Amino acid sequence: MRKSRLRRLLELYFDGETDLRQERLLRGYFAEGKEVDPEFEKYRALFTYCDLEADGACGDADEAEMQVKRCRHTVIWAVSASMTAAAAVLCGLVLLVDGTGKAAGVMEPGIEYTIDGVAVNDDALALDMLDSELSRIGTVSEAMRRNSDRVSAMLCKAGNALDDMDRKLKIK
Amino acid sequence: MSQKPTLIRLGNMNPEFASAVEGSRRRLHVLVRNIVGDDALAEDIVQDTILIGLQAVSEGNNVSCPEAWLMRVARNRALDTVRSAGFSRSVALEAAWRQDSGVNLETMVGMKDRVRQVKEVVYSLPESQRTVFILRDVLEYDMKDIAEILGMGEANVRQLLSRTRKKIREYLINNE
Repeated sequence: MRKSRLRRLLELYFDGETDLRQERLLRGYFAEGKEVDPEFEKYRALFTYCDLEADGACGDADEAEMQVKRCRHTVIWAVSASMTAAAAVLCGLVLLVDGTGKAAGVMEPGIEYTIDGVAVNDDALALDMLDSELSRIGTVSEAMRRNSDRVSAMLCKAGNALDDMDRKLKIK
Repeated sequence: MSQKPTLIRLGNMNPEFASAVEGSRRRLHVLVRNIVGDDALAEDIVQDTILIGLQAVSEGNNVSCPEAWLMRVARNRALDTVRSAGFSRSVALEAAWRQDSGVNLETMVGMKDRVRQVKEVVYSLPESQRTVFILRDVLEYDMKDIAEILGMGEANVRQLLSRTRKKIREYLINNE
């Protein structure tokens, strides 16, 4: 698509004047993996978000969820890790939320940030919690790896023992 | 006075309504999820909405434009939930990075960072702006349907949409 045409389409898009066909053209241009003119690269995330959200990908979460209770002008790194028998899960989130939360005629409810029920009010605390969670996961992950090696060794021994028994039974 | 439970004969469901339910379930979920911020809660609200619709139709109420009706009811129920006392909105995280996956965390953060920032800007918008953006840019409803769902004129919808897109653009430009 020519630059001038794309520029014009984007103008119309931001003025709310595009039709669905033109919007699909824009999304097609910014589709993941395609090369985009540097002038327009900043808009790629917007159209990628729309595509992902439409596919449901942006809403999917693995295990961890963070409870959002109070809205502030805060940047928070939050880590929530949950261990299962199979694997450790690490989640990271950066939030920048507008503190006003008001719209014409509509009051947005207050929102607070908590991690596992503990309110997190400052960056330093959030970063400390992130740090300690990462260390904990590292330790647990290392322990799991060692245990996994031991289990493998035991299974190997068991396998050999079964083979021996099998041979003895066949001889009889 | 005891009330008998209402039996909804699914076998006799109005075919137009049934088709609207089937066709719009995922879109309902996307819209509601963007209001309440939680997948499981969104699913509950969608189910409730469908049941309300089925009940309305079985009682002989005329639902002239089923999909728009469902979207409107779902949105209102989602807003009621958000405004209820003690509601805490969950912001579901994107896919977790497993420590043993071999994927470098910084690379993953780099790739998803911009998209996540857009998502967070959208979440921070007033509900009416967020809803109009989701309905148009994510779910690709036309202006007439959006106007019907939101109960406003098409010109207002365009204005709202333009304002929303420009807010996101401003964020993207200032955070390039």
